[in-house]
Amino acid sequence: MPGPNPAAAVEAFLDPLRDAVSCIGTAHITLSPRARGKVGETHAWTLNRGRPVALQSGWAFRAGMRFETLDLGQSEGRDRFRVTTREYIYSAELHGREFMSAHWHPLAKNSEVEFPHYHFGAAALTPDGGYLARAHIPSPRVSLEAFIRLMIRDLGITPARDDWEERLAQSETVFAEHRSWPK
Amino acid sequence: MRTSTIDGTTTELTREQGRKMFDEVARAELGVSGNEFLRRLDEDDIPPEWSADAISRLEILIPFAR
Repeated sequence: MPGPNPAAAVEAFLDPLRDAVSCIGTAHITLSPRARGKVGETHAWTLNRGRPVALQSGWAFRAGMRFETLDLGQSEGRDRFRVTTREYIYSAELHGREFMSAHWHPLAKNSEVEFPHYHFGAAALTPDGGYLARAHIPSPRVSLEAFIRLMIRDLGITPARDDWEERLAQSETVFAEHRSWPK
Repeated sequence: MRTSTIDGTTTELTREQGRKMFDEVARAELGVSGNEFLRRLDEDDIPPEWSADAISRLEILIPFAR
């Protein structure tokens, strides 16, 4: 997401994410220190200080990303600074146990799995599903919008607004226009 | 871990607030301090009983702590 300065680029990055989260609630995004100002360092955002966000019927949602603000040079004018996603984790929990999550964490020290993947947690499995609970099921890079759409459409989470489909589509369009990985 | 409601704002934490948040999440996720988690991660001394998902969730929050 581009902007004329680092703070503007970070806001342009966060705006569509806030819009997407508003489809299941009203987003409070917590940013890591100096996230709006420092270029060339890895920063992070999380929802509600890293705590699960309570939804209805025992569901909860967590999301976070690591990101970096890049300086593309003065020749880029008002698009000089750009924010790029380095990692993400989104998860849907049911009654305090993970139901499913989408992970991409190539910077993680404790995991050798660098490709994007899904996990299906204990709440989604039968008693015989222990192997699947540890599996890293390959996935494409998953947008926050796509995960929220899945929660509403397929997991039955009640949307917080009537125009959620349009909102998610608009937000995802912004994301698609600026993403740096192959479409 | 207790859940939360969401209230529509963005907060950039100070360094001190970031460390405190990271510490709180580490205690809630794994029952150890944020510093203990970082030390064990740096030394490749992760206990096998720690949840891999919890570790991943904490690793993504490391910019809050350092």
